Amino acid sequence: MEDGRRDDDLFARLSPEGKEAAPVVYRHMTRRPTRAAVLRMAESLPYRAAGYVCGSFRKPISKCCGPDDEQP
Amino acid sequence: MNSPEPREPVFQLFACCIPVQGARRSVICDVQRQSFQFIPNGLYEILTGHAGRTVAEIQAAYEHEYDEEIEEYFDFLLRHEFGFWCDDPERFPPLDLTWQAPERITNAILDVDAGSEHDYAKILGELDGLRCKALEVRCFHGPSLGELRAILEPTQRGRLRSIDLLVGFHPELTLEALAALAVEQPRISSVIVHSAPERLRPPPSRAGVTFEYRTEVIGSPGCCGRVHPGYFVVNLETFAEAQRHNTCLNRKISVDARGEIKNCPSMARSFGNARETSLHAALAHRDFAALWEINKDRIEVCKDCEFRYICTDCRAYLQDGRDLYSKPSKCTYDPYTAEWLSSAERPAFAGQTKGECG
Repeated sequence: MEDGRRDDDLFARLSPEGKEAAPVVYRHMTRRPTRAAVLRMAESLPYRAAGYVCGSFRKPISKCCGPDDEQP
Repeated sequence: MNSPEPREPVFQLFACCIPVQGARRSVICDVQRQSFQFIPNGLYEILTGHAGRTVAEIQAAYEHEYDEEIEEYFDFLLRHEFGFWCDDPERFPPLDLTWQAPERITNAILDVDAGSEHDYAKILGELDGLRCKALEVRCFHGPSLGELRAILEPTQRGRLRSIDLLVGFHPELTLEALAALAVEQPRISSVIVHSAPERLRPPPSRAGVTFEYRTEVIGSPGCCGRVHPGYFVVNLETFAEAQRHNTCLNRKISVDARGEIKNCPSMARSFGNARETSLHAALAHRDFAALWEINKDRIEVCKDCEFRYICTDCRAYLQDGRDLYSKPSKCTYDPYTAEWLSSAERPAFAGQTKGECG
Protein backbone atom coordinates (compact mmCIF):
# COMPACT_ATOMS: atom_id res chain seq x y z
CA MET A 1 0.00 0.00 0.00
CA GLU A 2 1.21 3.45 -0.91
CA ASP A 3 2.44 5.49 2.05
CA GLY A 4 -0.18 7.88 3.30
CA ARG A 5 -3.03 6.27 1.42
CA ARG A 6 -5.75 5.21 3.72
CA ASP A 7 -7.64 1.98 3.50
CA ASP A 8 -10.84 3.97 3.13
CA ASP A 9 -9.65 5.49 -0.09
CA LEU A 10 -8.85 2.11 -1.55
CA PHE A 11 -12.21 0.76 -0.52
CA ALA A 12 -13.99 3.73 -2.05
CA ARG A 13 -12.33 3.01 -5.38
CA LEU A 14 -13.87 -0.43 -5.60
CA SER A 15 -16.92 -1.00 -7.76
CA PRO A 16 -20.18 -1.85 -5.90
CA GLU A 17 -19.57 -5.51 -6.76
CA GLY A 18 -15.99 -5.22 -5.58
CA LYS A 19 -17.12 -3.75 -2.29
CA GLU A 20 -19.41 -6.70 -1.76
CA ALA A 21 -16.70 -9.15 -2.72
CA ALA A 22 -14.00 -7.59 -0.55
CA PRO A 23 -12.98 -9.71 2.42
CA VAL A 24 -15.27 -9.22 5.35
CA VAL A 25 -12.54 -7.94 7.64
CA TYR A 26 -11.53 -5.35 5.06
CA ARG A 27 -15.10 -4.21 4.57
CA HIS A 28 -15.60 -3.91 8.27
CA MET A 29 -12.64 -1.70 9.03
CA THR A 30 -13.48 1.69 10.33
CA ARG A 31 -11.44 4.84 10.37
CA ARG A 32 -11.72 5.30 14.09
CA PRO A 33 -11.77 1.85 15.65
CA THR A 34 -12.72 2.02 19.29
CA ARG A 35 -11.47 -0.38 21.94
CA ALA A 36 -14.81 -2.16 21.71
CA ALA A 37 -14.49 -2.57 17.95
CA VAL A 38 -11.04 -4.07 18.29
CA LEU A 39 -12.26 -6.41 21.04
CA ARG A 40 -15.22 -7.48 18.96
CA MET A 41 -12.97 -8.17 16.01
CA ALA A 42 -10.68 -10.29 18.16
CA GLU A 43 -13.61 -12.16 19.68
CA SER A 44 -14.97 -13.01 16.26
CA LEU A 45 -11.73 -14.69 15.19
CA PRO A 46 -12.84 -18.21 16.15
CA TYR A 47 -16.08 -17.75 14.21
CA ARG A 48 -14.28 -16.45 11.17
CA ALA A 49 -11.77 -19.27 11.35
CA ALA A 50 -14.26 -22.10 11.86
CA GLY A 51 -17.44 -20.67 10.45
CA TYR A 52 -20.67 -19.99 12.28
CA VAL A 53 -22.12 -23.32 11.24
CA CYS A 54 -19.99 -25.42 13.50
CA GLY A 55 -20.15 -28.97 14.69
CA SER A 56 -21.41 -28.24 18.14
CA PHE A 57 -25.05 -27.99 19.07
CA ARG A 58 -25.75 -25.08 21.35
CA LYS A 59 -29.31 -25.16 22.59
CA PRO A 60 -31.23 -27.32 25.05
CA ILE A 61 -32.61 -30.50 23.48
CA SER A 62 -35.24 -30.87 26.17
CA LYS A 63 -36.28 -28.65 29.06
CA CYS A 64 -37.09 -30.76 32.10
CA CYS A 65 -35.26 -28.90 34.85
CA GLY A 66 -36.72 -26.04 36.80
CA PRO A 67 -34.91 -22.78 37.44
CA ASP A 68 -32.15 -23.10 40.01
CA ASP A 69 -34.08 -21.12 42.56
CA GLU A 70 -36.81 -23.77 42.47
CA GLN A 71 -34.43 -26.35 43.87
CA PRO A 72 -35.36 -27.06 47.48
CA MET B 1 -10.61 14.67 -6.99
CA ASN B 2 -12.25 16.57 -4.15
CA SER B 3 -13.04 14.48 -1.12
CA PRO B 4 -16.70 14.59 -0.11
CA GLU B 5 -17.83 16.88 2.70
CA PRO B 6 -17.16 15.12 6.02
CA ARG B 7 -20.39 13.87 7.55
CA GLU B 8 -21.37 13.87 11.16
CA PRO B 9 -20.78 10.38 12.54
CA VAL B 10 -23.72 8.09 13.03
CA PHE B 11 -24.14 5.34 15.57
CA GLN B 12 -23.76 1.83 14.25
CA LEU B 13 -24.61 -1.30 16.21
CA PHE B 14 -22.17 -4.16 15.86
CA ALA B 15 -23.78 -6.64 13.50
CA CYS B 16 -23.84 -9.26 16.27
CA CYS B 17 -25.93 -6.99 18.50
CA ILE B 18 -29.45 -7.35 17.24
CA PRO B 19 -32.40 -5.45 18.74
CA VAL B 20 -35.69 -7.33 19.16
CA GLN B 21 -38.87 -5.50 20.04
CA GLY B 22 -41.39 -6.77 22.55
CA ALA B 23 -44.80 -5.44 23.51
CA ARG B 24 -43.56 -3.52 26.53
CA ARG B 25 -39.78 -3.48 26.25
CA SER B 26 -37.09 -4.63 23.87
CA VAL B 27 -33.78 -6.45 24.13
CA ILE B 28 -30.47 -6.25 22.36
CA CYS B 29 -29.32 -9.81 21.72
CA ASP B 30 -25.55 -10.01 21.62
CA VAL B 31 -25.10 -13.24 19.67
CA GLN B 32 -21.32 -12.98 19.89
CA ARG B 33 -21.02 -12.56 23.66
CA GLN B 34 -24.10 -14.71 24.26
CA SER B 35 -25.98 -12.26 26.40
CA PHE B 36 -28.89 -9.89 26.16
CA GLN B 37 -29.70 -6.50 27.62
CA PHE B 38 -33.07 -4.87 28.10
CA ILE B 39 -33.70 -1.58 26.35
CA PRO B 40 -36.80 0.61 26.26
CA ASN B 41 -38.95 0.47 23.15
CA GLY B 42 -38.03 4.10 22.51
CA LEU B 43 -34.42 3.12 22.02
CA TYR B 44 -35.47 0.24 19.77
CA GLU B 45 -37.28 2.79 17.62
CA ILE B 46 -34.19 4.98 17.42
CA LEU B 47 -31.98 2.03 16.50
CA THR B 48 -34.26 0.73 13.79
CA GLY B 49 -36.46 3.58 12.59
CA HIS B 50 -33.67 6.17 12.69
CA ALA B 51 -30.71 3.99 11.76
CA GLY B 52 -28.08 5.89 9.78
CA ARG B 53 -29.10 9.29 11.15
CA THR B 54 -26.89 11.58 13.18
CA VAL B 55 -27.74 12.41 16.77
CA ALA B 56 -28.76 15.91 15.72
CA GLU B 57 -31.10 14.48 13.11
CA ILE B 58 -32.63 12.07 15.61
CA GLN B 59 -33.08 14.79 18.22
CA ALA B 60 -34.70 17.00 15.61
CA ALA B 61 -37.02 14.14 14.57
CA TYR B 62 -38.31 14.10 18.16
CA GLU B 63 -38.56 17.91 18.09
CA HIS B 64 -35.85 18.17 20.78
CA GLU B 65 -38.24 16.87 23.41
CA TYR B 66 -35.93 14.04 24.45
CA ASP B 67 -32.45 15.40 23.72
CA GLU B 68 -31.02 14.39 27.07
CA GLU B 69 -32.55 10.90 27.00
CA ILE B 70 -31.25 10.29 23.50
CA GLU B 71 -27.73 11.20 24.57
CA GLU B 72 -28.08 8.90 27.57
CA TYR B 73 -29.21 6.11 25.26
CA PHE B 74 -26.08 6.39 23.16
CA ASP B 75 -23.89 6.53 26.26
CA PHE B 76 -25.57 3.33 27.41
CA LEU B 77 -24.93 1.62 24.06
CA LEU B 78 -21.27 2.65 24.06
CA ARG B 79 -20.78 1.61 27.69
CA HIS B 80 -22.12 -1.86 26.93
CA GLU B 81 -20.00 -2.07 23.76
CA PHE B 82 -23.01 -2.59 21.51
CA GLY B 83 -21.80 -0.24 18.79
CA PHE B 84 -19.60 2.61 17.68
CA TRP B 85 -19.63 5.93 15.87
CA CYS B 86 -18.78 5.83 12.20
CA ASP B 87 -18.95 7.87 9.03
CA ASP B 88 -19.67 5.03 6.69
CA PRO B 89 -22.51 2.85 7.99
CA GLU B 90 -23.00 1.31 4.56
CA ARG B 91 -19.84 -0.67 5.20
CA PHE B 92 -21.44 -2.52 8.07
CA PRO B 93 -24.26 -4.62 6.66
CA PRO B 94 -26.48 -6.69 8.93
CA LEU B 95 -25.76 -10.36 9.48
CA ASP B 96 -27.36 -12.76 7.05
CA LEU B 97 -29.78 -14.71 9.25
CA THR B 98 -30.43 -17.46 6.74
CA TRP B 99 -30.32 -20.77 8.61
CA GLN B 100 -29.09 -23.93 6.95
CA ALA B 101 -27.81 -27.24 8.26
CA PRO B 102 -26.35 -30.16 6.35
CA GLU B 103 -27.83 -32.69 8.77
CA ARG B 104 -31.29 -34.14 8.07
CA ILE B 105 -31.69 -34.35 11.82
CA THR B 106 -29.63 -32.16 14.10
CA ASN B 107 -30.83 -33.41 17.49
CA ALA B 108 -32.63 -36.32 19.05
CA ILE B 109 -34.15 -37.47 22.31
CA LEU B 110 -34.03 -41.07 23.44
CA ASP B 111 -36.22 -41.79 26.45
CA VAL B 112 -35.54 -44.77 28.66
CA ASP B 113 -37.33 -46.12 31.70
CA ALA B 114 -37.16 -49.33 33.68
CA GLY B 115 -39.49 -51.06 31.19
CA SER B 116 -37.78 -49.93 27.96
CA GLU B 117 -36.73 -52.60 25.48
CA HIS B 118 -34.85 -50.48 22.98
CA ASP B 119 -32.56 -51.88 20.34
CA TYR B 120 -29.93 -49.22 21.02
CA ALA B 121 -27.62 -50.28 18.20
CA LYS B 122 -30.43 -49.98 15.64
CA ILE B 123 -31.72 -46.63 16.89
CA LEU B 124 -28.31 -45.04 17.27
CA GLY B 125 -27.14 -46.47 13.93
CA GLU B 126 -30.14 -44.92 12.19
CA LEU B 127 -29.56 -41.61 13.93
CA ASP B 128 -26.04 -41.73 12.62
CA GLY B 129 -27.40 -42.31 9.12
CA LEU B 130 -29.43 -39.12 9.49
CA ARG B 131 -26.22 -37.29 10.47
CA CYS B 132 -27.65 -36.42 13.86
CA LYS B 133 -25.05 -34.48 15.83
CA ALA B 134 -26.61 -34.06 19.26
CA LEU B 135 -28.40 -36.62 21.41
CA GLU B 136 -30.08 -36.39 24.76
CA VAL B 137 -30.65 -39.64 26.62
CA ARG B 138 -33.26 -39.24 29.35
CA CYS B 139 -33.51 -42.04 31.89
CA PHE B 140 -36.51 -41.55 34.12
CA HIS B 141 -35.33 -44.32 36.39
CA GLY B 142 -31.92 -44.66 38.01
CA PRO B 143 -29.81 -46.78 35.68
CA SER B 144 -26.81 -48.68 36.95
CA LEU B 145 -23.44 -47.76 35.55
CA GLY B 146 -23.48 -50.97 33.49
CA GLU B 147 -26.86 -50.09 31.97
CA LEU B 148 -25.64 -46.62 31.12
CA ARG B 149 -22.55 -48.08 29.45
CA ALA B 150 -24.71 -50.48 27.41
CA ILE B 151 -26.89 -47.59 26.19
CA LEU B 152 -23.88 -45.53 25.17
CA GLU B 153 -21.77 -48.30 23.67
CA PRO B 154 -23.20 -47.99 20.11
CA THR B 155 -22.38 -44.27 20.06
CA GLN B 156 -18.66 -45.01 20.20
CA ARG B 157 -18.25 -45.11 16.46
CA GLY B 158 -20.78 -42.64 15.11
CA ARG B 159 -20.75 -39.04 14.02
CA LEU B 160 -22.54 -37.73 17.09
CA ARG B 161 -20.80 -34.64 18.44
CA SER B 162 -22.44 -34.41 21.81
CA ILE B 163 -24.47 -36.51 24.23
CA ASP B 164 -26.39 -35.01 27.12
CA LEU B 165 -27.42 -37.41 29.85
CA LEU B 166 -30.37 -36.87 32.15
CA VAL B 167 -30.51 -39.85 34.47
CA GLY B 168 -32.20 -40.79 37.71
CA PHE B 169 -30.07 -41.26 40.79
CA HIS B 170 -28.49 -44.67 41.36
CA PRO B 171 -25.96 -45.31 44.14
CA GLU B 172 -23.39 -46.33 41.50
CA LEU B 173 -23.63 -42.94 39.80
CA THR B 174 -21.10 -41.16 41.96
CA LEU B 175 -19.33 -38.10 40.68
CA GLU B 176 -16.12 -40.09 40.25
CA ALA B 177 -17.91 -42.83 38.29
CA LEU B 178 -19.61 -40.32 36.00
CA ALA B 179 -16.37 -38.43 35.46
CA ALA B 180 -14.71 -41.70 34.47
CA LEU B 181 -17.61 -42.48 32.12
CA ALA B 182 -17.17 -39.08 30.47
CA VAL B 183 -13.51 -39.89 29.86
CA GLU B 184 -14.47 -43.26 28.31
CA GLN B 185 -17.18 -41.55 26.25
CA PRO B 186 -15.72 -38.24 25.10
CA ARG B 187 -18.95 -37.32 23.34
CA ILE B 188 -20.67 -36.79 26.68
CA SER B 189 -21.02 -33.06 27.17
CA SER B 190 -23.27 -32.89 30.23
CA VAL B 191 -24.72 -35.17 32.89
CA ILE B 192 -27.67 -34.25 35.08
CA VAL B 193 -28.65 -36.68 37.80
CA HIS B 194 -32.21 -36.11 38.95
CA SER B 195 -33.90 -37.46 42.09
CA ALA B 196 -30.55 -37.13 43.86
CA PRO B 197 -30.50 -37.10 47.68
CA GLU B 198 -28.77 -33.75 47.67
CA ARG B 199 -27.95 -30.98 45.31
CA LEU B 200 -24.43 -30.78 43.90
CA ARG B 201 -22.91 -28.78 41.10
CA PRO B 202 -19.17 -29.27 40.88
CA PRO B 203 -17.07 -27.25 38.46
CA PRO B 204 -16.90 -28.64 34.89
CA SER B 205 -14.27 -31.26 34.14
CA ARG B 206 -11.06 -30.33 32.36
CA ALA B 207 -12.69 -31.47 29.12
CA GLY B 208 -15.59 -29.08 29.76
CA VAL B 209 -18.14 -31.73 30.76
CA THR B 210 -20.68 -30.42 33.26
CA PHE B 211 -22.12 -32.54 36.05
CA GLU B 212 -25.09 -31.68 38.18
CA TYR B 213 -27.07 -33.51 40.85
CA ARG B 214 -30.60 -32.20 41.34
CA THR B 215 -33.11 -33.20 43.96
CA GLU B 216 -36.14 -32.66 41.74
CA VAL B 217 -37.75 -35.78 40.34
CA ILE B 218 -37.96 -36.02 36.57
CA GLY B 219 -40.11 -39.08 36.24
CA SER B 220 -41.71 -38.73 32.83
CA PRO B 221 -41.69 -36.69 29.60
CA GLY B 222 -44.40 -34.60 31.29
CA CYS B 223 -41.62 -32.72 33.06
CA CYS B 224 -40.41 -31.27 29.77
CA GLY B 225 -41.39 -28.02 28.09
CA ARG B 226 -40.36 -25.67 30.86
CA VAL B 227 -39.69 -22.11 29.83
CA HIS B 228 -37.50 -19.91 31.98
CA PRO B 229 -34.44 -17.71 31.45
CA GLY B 230 -32.14 -20.60 32.35
CA TYR B 231 -33.10 -22.16 29.03
CA PHE B 232 -32.61 -19.02 26.95
CA VAL B 233 -29.93 -19.40 24.31
CA VAL B 234 -28.25 -16.35 22.82
CA ASN B 235 -26.14 -17.48 19.92
CA LEU B 236 -26.19 -16.93 16.20
CA GLU B 237 -27.24 -20.46 15.25
CA THR B 238 -30.36 -20.40 17.42
CA PHE B 239 -31.18 -16.78 16.66
CA ALA B 240 -30.99 -17.47 12.92
CA GLU B 241 -32.92 -20.73 13.21
CA ALA B 242 -35.64 -18.96 15.21
CA GLN B 243 -36.33 -16.55 12.35
CA ARG B 244 -38.11 -19.23 10.33
CA HIS B 245 -38.17 -22.45 12.32
CA ASN B 246 -39.42 -23.88 15.55
CA THR B 247 -36.55 -23.74 17.98
CA CYS B 248 -37.48 -26.96 19.73
CA LEU B 249 -38.79 -29.28 17.03
CA ASN B 250 -36.91 -28.23 13.91
CA ARG B 251 -34.80 -31.17 12.71
CA LYS B 252 -35.54 -33.12 15.89
CA ILE B 253 -36.57 -36.76 16.17
CA SER B 254 -37.46 -38.61 19.35
CA VAL B 255 -37.95 -42.15 20.50
CA ASP B 256 -40.02 -42.44 23.62
CA ALA B 257 -39.57 -45.02 26.37
CA ARG B 258 -41.91 -47.46 24.56
CA GLY B 259 -40.03 -47.10 21.28
CA GLU B 260 -42.56 -44.83 19.56
CA ILE B 261 -40.99 -42.46 17.06
CA LYS B 262 -42.28 -38.93 17.54
CA ASN B 263 -41.40 -35.29 17.04
CA CYS B 264 -41.18 -35.05 20.81
CA PRO B 265 -41.78 -37.74 23.44
CA SER B 266 -44.45 -35.56 25.07
CA MET B 267 -46.57 -35.56 21.94
CA ALA B 268 -49.26 -38.11 21.31
CA ARG B 269 -48.67 -38.78 17.63
CA SER B 270 -46.39 -41.67 16.76
CA PHE B 271 -44.88 -42.27 13.35
CA GLY B 272 -44.23 -45.92 14.07
CA ASN B 273 -42.35 -48.01 16.59
CA ALA B 274 -38.57 -48.05 16.29
CA ARG B 275 -38.62 -51.86 16.42
CA GLU B 276 -40.54 -52.10 13.13
CA THR B 277 -40.09 -48.68 11.52
CA SER B 278 -36.80 -47.05 10.68
CA LEU B 279 -36.18 -43.46 11.72
CA HIS B 280 -35.65 -42.69 8.01
CA ALA B 281 -39.13 -44.00 7.19
CA ALA B 282 -40.70 -41.99 10.02
CA LEU B 283 -38.89 -38.86 8.86
CA ALA B 284 -40.16 -39.44 5.30
CA HIS B 285 -43.78 -39.28 6.49
CA ARG B 286 -45.37 -36.19 5.01
CA ASP B 287 -46.51 -34.91 8.40
CA PHE B 288 -43.29 -35.42 10.29
CA ALA B 289 -41.85 -31.99 9.49
CA ALA B 290 -45.17 -30.16 9.69
CA LEU B 291 -44.30 -28.49 12.99
CA TRP B 292 -40.77 -27.51 12.08
CA GLU B 293 -41.80 -24.21 10.50
CA ILE B 294 -43.90 -22.87 13.38
CA ASN B 295 -41.63 -20.08 14.43
CA LYS B 296 -42.27 -17.74 17.33
CA ASP B 297 -43.55 -15.01 15.03
CA ARG B 298 -46.56 -17.23 14.32
CA ILE B 299 -47.36 -18.12 17.93
CA GLU B 300 -49.89 -16.08 19.87
CA VAL B 301 -48.34 -13.99 22.65
CA CYS B 302 -44.82 -15.24 21.79
CA LYS B 303 -44.93 -13.09 18.66
CA ASP B 304 -45.05 -10.03 20.93
CA CYS B 305 -42.31 -11.25 23.25
CA GLU B 306 -38.85 -9.73 23.24
CA PHE B 307 -37.34 -13.17 24.02
CA ARG B 308 -38.83 -14.85 20.95
CA TYR B 309 -35.53 -15.48 19.16
CA ILE B 310 -33.60 -16.71 22.20
CA CYS B 311 -36.27 -18.88 23.80
CA THR B 312 -36.66 -22.52 22.86
CA ASP B 313 -40.30 -23.22 22.16
CA CYS B 314 -42.59 -26.05 23.24
CA ARG B 315 -45.42 -27.37 21.07
CA ALA B 316 -46.35 -30.25 23.34
CA TYR B 317 -47.85 -28.33 26.26
CA LEU B 318 -50.01 -25.47 25.03
CA GLN B 319 -52.27 -23.00 26.75
CA ASP B 320 -54.99 -24.00 24.34
CA GLY B 321 -54.55 -27.62 23.37
CA ARG B 322 -56.83 -27.15 20.34
CA ASP B 323 -54.75 -24.32 18.92
CA LEU B 324 -51.40 -25.35 17.55
CA TYR B 325 -50.34 -21.70 17.54
CA SER B 326 -51.02 -20.96 21.20
CA LYS B 327 -48.41 -20.04 23.78
CA PRO B 328 -46.48 -22.76 25.66
CA SER B 329 -48.49 -23.48 28.80
CA LYS B 330 -45.39 -23.71 30.98
CA CYS B 331 -44.24 -20.21 30.10
CA THR B 332 -45.21 -17.79 32.84
CA TYR B 333 -43.86 -14.68 31.19
CA ASP B 334 -46.29 -12.00 30.11
CA PRO B 335 -44.72 -9.75 27.46
CA TYR B 336 -47.54 -7.24 27.84
CA THR B 337 -46.60 -6.50 31.45
CA ALA B 338 -42.97 -7.66 31.18
CA GLU B 339 -43.41 -9.79 34.29
CA TRP B 340 -42.85 -13.41 35.21
CA LEU B 341 -45.66 -14.83 37.29
CA SER B 342 -44.49 -16.22 40.58
CA SER B 343 -44.83 -19.96 41.22
CA ALA B 344 -47.94 -19.31 43.29
CA GLU B 345 -49.59 -17.47 40.43
CA ARG B 346 -48.50 -19.97 37.83
CA PRO B 347 -51.49 -21.54 36.11
CA ALA B 348 -52.02 -25.30 36.07
CA PHE B 349 -50.22 -26.81 33.11
CA ALA B 350 -52.64 -27.82 30.38
CA GLY B 351 -52.20 -31.36 29.15
CA GLN B 352 -50.32 -32.46 32.23
CA THR B 353 -51.92 -34.25 35.12
CA LYS B 354 -50.90 -33.43 38.65
CA GLY B 355 -48.05 -35.59 39.86
CA GLU B 356 -47.07 -36.73 36.37
CA CYS B 357 -43.75 -34.97 36.71
CA GLY B 358 -42.54 -37.22 39.40
